[in-house]
Amino acid sequence: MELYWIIAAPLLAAPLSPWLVRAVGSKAAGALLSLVPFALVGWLLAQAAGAGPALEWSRSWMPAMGLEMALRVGGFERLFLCLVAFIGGLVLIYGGAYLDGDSKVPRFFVVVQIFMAAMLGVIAADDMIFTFVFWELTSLTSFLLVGYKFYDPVARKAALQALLVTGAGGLALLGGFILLAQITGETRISALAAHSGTLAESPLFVPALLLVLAGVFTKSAQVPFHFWLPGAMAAPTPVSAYLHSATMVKAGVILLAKLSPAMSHTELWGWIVAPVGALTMLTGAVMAVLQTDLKRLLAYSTVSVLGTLVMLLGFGDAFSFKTAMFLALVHGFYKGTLFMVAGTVDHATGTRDIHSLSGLRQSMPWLAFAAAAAALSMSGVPPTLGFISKELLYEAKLSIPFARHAVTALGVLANSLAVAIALIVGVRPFLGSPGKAVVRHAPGWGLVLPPVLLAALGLLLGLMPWLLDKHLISPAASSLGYDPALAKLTLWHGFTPVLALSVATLVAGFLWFKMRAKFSGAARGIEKIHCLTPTALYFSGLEGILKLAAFLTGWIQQGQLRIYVRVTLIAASGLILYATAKVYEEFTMLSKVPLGVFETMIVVVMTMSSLAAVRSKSRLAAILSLGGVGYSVAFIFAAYGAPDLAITQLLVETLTVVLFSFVILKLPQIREISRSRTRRWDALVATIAGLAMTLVVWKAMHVQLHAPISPGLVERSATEAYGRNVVNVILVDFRALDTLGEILVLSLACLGVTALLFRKRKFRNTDDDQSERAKAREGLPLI
Amino acid sequence: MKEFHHSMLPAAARLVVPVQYVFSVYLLLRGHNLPGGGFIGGLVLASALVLRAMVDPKRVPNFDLIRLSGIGLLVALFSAVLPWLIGKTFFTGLWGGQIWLPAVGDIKLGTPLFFDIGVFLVVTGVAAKLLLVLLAQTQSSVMDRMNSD
Repeated sequence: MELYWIIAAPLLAAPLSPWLVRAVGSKAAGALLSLVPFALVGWLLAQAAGAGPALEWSRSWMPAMGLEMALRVGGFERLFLCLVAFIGGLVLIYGGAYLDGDSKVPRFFVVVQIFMAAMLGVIAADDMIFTFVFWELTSLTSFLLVGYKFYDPVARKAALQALLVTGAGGLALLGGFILLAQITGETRISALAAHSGTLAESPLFVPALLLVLAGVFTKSAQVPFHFWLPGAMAAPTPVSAYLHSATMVKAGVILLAKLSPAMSHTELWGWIVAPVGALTMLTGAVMAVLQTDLKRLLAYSTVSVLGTLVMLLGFGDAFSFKTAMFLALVHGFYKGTLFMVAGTVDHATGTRDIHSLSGLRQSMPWLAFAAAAAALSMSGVPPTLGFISKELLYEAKLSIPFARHAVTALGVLANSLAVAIALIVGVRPFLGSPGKAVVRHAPGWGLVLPPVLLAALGLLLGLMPWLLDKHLISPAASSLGYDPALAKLTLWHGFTPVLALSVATLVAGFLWFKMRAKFSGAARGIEKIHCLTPTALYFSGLEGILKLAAFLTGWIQQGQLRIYVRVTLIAASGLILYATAKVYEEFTMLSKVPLGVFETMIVVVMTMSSLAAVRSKSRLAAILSLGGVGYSVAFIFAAYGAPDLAITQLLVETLTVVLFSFVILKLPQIREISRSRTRRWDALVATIAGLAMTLVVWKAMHVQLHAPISPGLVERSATEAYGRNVVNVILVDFRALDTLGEILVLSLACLGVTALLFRKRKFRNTDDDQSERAKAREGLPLI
Repeated sequence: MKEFHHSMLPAAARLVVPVQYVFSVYLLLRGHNLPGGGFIGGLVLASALVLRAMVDPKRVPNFDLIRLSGIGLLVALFSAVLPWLIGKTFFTGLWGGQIWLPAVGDIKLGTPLFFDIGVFLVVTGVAAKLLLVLLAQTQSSVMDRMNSD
């Protein structure tokens, strides 16, 4: 199998999903579609266990700029590809069941699969610009998925916020990539490591690093850009489970890891990446405990884990790197499970409020098992994967060269808060006597199987960590040049200080959990201060931009067509006169084109038509007279041997007159078109514009600055493009890219005009199928 | 609806519209060698659709014109991407056989012709959509005015 299939397969499956949903229903469609990513996982695991050379595939993209569509799958990429595809498969099953009965299910399947392809692309792509394309595609699909309920203003706002933050970061990343390519002369990420010396010495290194980090930090929700992630919880839960916990938010971490061999040896890297990660780790953990909504709680705890991962990569040593790889995998297992558990609870009871959920283990025993297993792993209770990752984490922190005690203390704090979160999310809703929230309808297999499967697999692997170590984690570390032998994935490390820290973490976490009622007051206080910081900054910034735009629009766009035309004509004439005045070459006032009787007659007709248009008392007559001017122009084209132009001009002129007459029929009758005072102004503007046009045409006829390109085109037209009509050959062959752009603009303009003419229809907050579909068809979603 | 119900216009339209249909395709196909092409052909077809709707407001196209221009974009894009898929540069003209059509003459088949068909569809869709939307609004507002008189 060629390597590009890992991206092509989900992309090809995506357009099939609407038919599949129609044919077998959304539950079965989800199960069938999940076969694609599961097959990918199987294929990836069957590849040699990472010891061999990386798989590569590449194809020339823009050879002139040295760009390639290059894919490269080594041990590192293989680990994350497996994670993304495996959880993706589960989410397709889960999503099909979760959204069963919703009319927008096909959209969910299509966009999620495009996202999956994009995410696999981010991981596997080796060329930097190619990576960037997938990177942006994940932002766009995330926007569409967060705004899935596009009739809900909260969802629209959250979608826009996520898009603006990650989109701005994406632009910064592009800048960083370009600088990196400039410095090293390489566009392949895997080739950068060989240039790490050149990189560090270059004066452009600092801006390059800062720009790349801006992209990474926005995508992976690092402080101070973390605020979009809790907002993105407006998405349906399957989306949150997939994009906003297991995959997309890890794109930043993945890129950071891929770039680390080239950059992590510099001082700046350690000084920025590790502290930002540590701060995010703590902020996320503290904010999480204060939440009452299950999904927001999980979102903040995801922020905390992302911070931990970034911090580990910031340390830059082999031990920390391997720990980060392992933690990323473990987190995918337990957080994916917990998100799906939260979604199922929400689906079954109709609430996600932690205060009203309890005693659910009786009605949903399997779900309780999945939740408990995930919570144990998240808390780091042996013998789970979480326990091993926490041991490694503490060892990594204790082995950094400086500030190790402070960092370890922070780690214990964040991890004990994670224990409390695990208890709140995974245990509390299922224990005790049934609370206010009752199960209204029992969840089907599609809502229970995926979390149970993920949790059970996590438990099983926890008992056999060496399997993971040998086949996934160690190859991941060694493929990027980190020695995997330093960190060992074993359940029992002996009686070490690390074990004592683990026990202390559990005890502290349990205490936090017991005392959580006490700091609900503090919670509100912190929430208030927190609201004053990045979120508020984002909103005031957005408001400022909108106000500036409104001011500028009000200033430039007066709303009067007459003024627009005047400004446009004066500006254009001014520029033309300035430009032509700079061309000093000699030219005579003698005409170079012959003027016969026919041409003279056309000019007379044209002059009379324009006089009639100016003097007309009715709009319709004025439009018809202007049409006469247009027809005369068409005849001039015909007379001087440009039949294509003439035909086009005739048709456009006819349709313009028809269009204007439709509009005029709508307008009220008037006595006079304009007052004599404005007419004098109009006459002046018209004269200036006419003079400028005449001058530019005259000079163009007489002054030759460059050799004309038309003879060459005419010559090549018949021999190379098999066409004798050179105008058409230029349009569809020589300059076809221009034409493609033009028809695209035309189509977009048509959408815009149609939307404007239908703008009286407002969004209503309704679940009504028909109106939603109608709105979507008008091209208005998410505006 | 007085404005739209003359007797001459429907009579003329009955004759002109079918001619316009044929003529638009004729213009499209001959474009590569003689004056014509997708843009011009599209405008002719659009004016035929508008003329039909002017005569009888019920006779609007029963397909989505925006979708038509979307299909046109895809056709144009496909003919641009096709050479690239087989390993040549984006937009390289690929030429196949030659066919003879009555009235038009010999036509060389190739991606540029395909591209021109895309242009034809986009221009038809966009021009007809804009005019028909305006026409529908004019007709309804003229009706309103007549009702209120």
